[in-house]
Amino acid sequence: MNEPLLEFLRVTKEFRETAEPVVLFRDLDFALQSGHSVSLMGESGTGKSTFLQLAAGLDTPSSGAVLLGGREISSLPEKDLNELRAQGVGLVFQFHFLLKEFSVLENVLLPAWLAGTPRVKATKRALELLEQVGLSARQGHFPAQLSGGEKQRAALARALINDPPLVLADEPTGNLDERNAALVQDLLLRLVVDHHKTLLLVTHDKVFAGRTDLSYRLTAGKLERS
Amino acid sequence: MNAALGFLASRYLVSRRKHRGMGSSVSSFVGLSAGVVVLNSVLSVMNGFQLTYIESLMEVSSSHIRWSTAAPHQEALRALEGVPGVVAVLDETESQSLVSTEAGGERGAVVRGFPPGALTRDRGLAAHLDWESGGMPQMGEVALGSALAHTLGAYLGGTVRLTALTGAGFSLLAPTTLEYRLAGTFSTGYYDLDATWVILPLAEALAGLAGPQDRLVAIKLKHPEDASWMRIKLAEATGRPPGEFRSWDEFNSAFYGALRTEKTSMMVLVGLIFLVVGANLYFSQKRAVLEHREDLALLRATGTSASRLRLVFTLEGLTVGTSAAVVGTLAGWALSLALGSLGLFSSEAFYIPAVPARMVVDEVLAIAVACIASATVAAGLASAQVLRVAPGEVLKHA
Repeated sequence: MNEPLLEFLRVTKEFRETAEPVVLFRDLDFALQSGHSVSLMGESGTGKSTFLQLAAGLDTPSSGAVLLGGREISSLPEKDLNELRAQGVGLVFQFHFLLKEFSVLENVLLPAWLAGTPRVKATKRALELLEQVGLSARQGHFPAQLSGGEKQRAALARALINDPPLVLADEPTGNLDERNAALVQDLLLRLVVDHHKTLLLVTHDKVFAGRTDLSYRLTAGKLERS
Repeated sequence: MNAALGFLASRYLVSRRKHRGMGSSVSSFVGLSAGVVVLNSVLSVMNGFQLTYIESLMEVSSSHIRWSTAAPHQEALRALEGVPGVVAVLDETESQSLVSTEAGGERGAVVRGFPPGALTRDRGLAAHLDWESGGMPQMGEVALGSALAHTLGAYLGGTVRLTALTGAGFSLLAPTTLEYRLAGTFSTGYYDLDATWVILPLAEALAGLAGPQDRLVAIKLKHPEDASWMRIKLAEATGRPPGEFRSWDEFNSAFYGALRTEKTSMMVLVGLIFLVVGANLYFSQKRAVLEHREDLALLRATGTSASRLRLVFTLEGLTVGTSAAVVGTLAGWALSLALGSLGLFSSEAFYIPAVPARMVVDEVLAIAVACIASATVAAGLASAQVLRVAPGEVLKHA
């Protein structure tokens, strides 16, 4: 079997802000093979989002190691970590986090442009992605002029602008109505397949979770296949 | 820094102005511009007055280099004229006297004896002696500063008496009074000279009012700013000790020192506006960072480093500071020109015919740099807030 794209090795995460430390998970092992799509379910507060943030290098484990592409994220110097965030993962959140002062096209191309891709090239790629998410006609609009579903589709396009091997999605349809949620789910899964991406999806939606290759449940700090 | 950061900064700046009208960046811009305008115009007027005084003193009173010597030989004068960089050498006298007129006025005065052809030989002197009536005195004649003539009630063609103590030694000093016809009144632009100066032909001065100790040689240079080291060359040319030669800035050092202190104090006081506006910008930029914390969290999560994001907010300060410096400098320049031509002061009520205003390039640059630096440093310090944005926390709890 190939080396996993994402790997958790005996990862413990605890919060010590209170007198009694809160342990989210202890000595957790997890591996995600390249090209697979995996969903992670669990009740609120079990640490699903923290799990995803550890995978994205936005948080550090209390002990253990998180490896992305064979490199331990928490030991990376700042410069390499930024590069990994830019090129290694694409993030989609429950809230779109589009920059309100920028048009849809600018929102999509900014991560690439800031990462050093020439603007013309970044714009070309952003336009292609906007076409794939059905927002070509809305490229000049600002986030305030879009519906919730459209904002989330723009966020999907933004997540793929740097062509990252891994897409991390944290309840991407959590804020959407049924019809828009279905639309975004279809789109996310189709884009992951079309672009040969690996997907780690956090969701409360069993149906959505059932559409991924593997499904896990995080319960009381333990990962269980479901 | 790449263009994307500049794009981000400019969009934030424009957007904040658009959504908040007279936002903090605009008020900072206005404050800084006002500071630059005030500093430039105040200093230009101070420069105008100071340079007028300095030029008058330098060209008329002290000359560029003054050589105090009891009896200069023609040979020494010729040697001085032969030194490269020397444009005029005048054998003169400077003594004290009591001046009175038929109208009954009396005043203490400085009597300067100028050699024949002084105005043609020394163009600087000629340029700064503005003859309000008459002209340079001939034998038997005298010229008075305009303010002195006015005080004494002297009139052209009238009699002016000069009284001085003369004699070989202190115990033999006796008053000598000589009468002259008033041939002209002059103005130098510096009241103290116009109120105390009397000009006589050198021969007249030496004949009755000035002794050997009152002799001096006034030397003018092509470049007055070279005076301090030209003294040495002149001393070598004459074979005299350098201590006998005094440069214009040395001769008037107390006065120039006072002018410099006055200007520095004014710069510091008015310059405090940059501190106040800088503080305003600092707090507004801190607020801007907080307002954009979700954007910043997302941009950091997508790989933009905190230091580059700090640049976005620092750039805003740089933009505000640079725009204020450019606009303020241009407006200050226009105001300085206007002050010189508006005739704010009546020449009848005040001694000055117009407000002199001169902008000095070094000072204009220093003010612009201070303006840009205060805004940039304030924004740069405020941008440290970016480091406090923990992307994971913000994105999780938004």
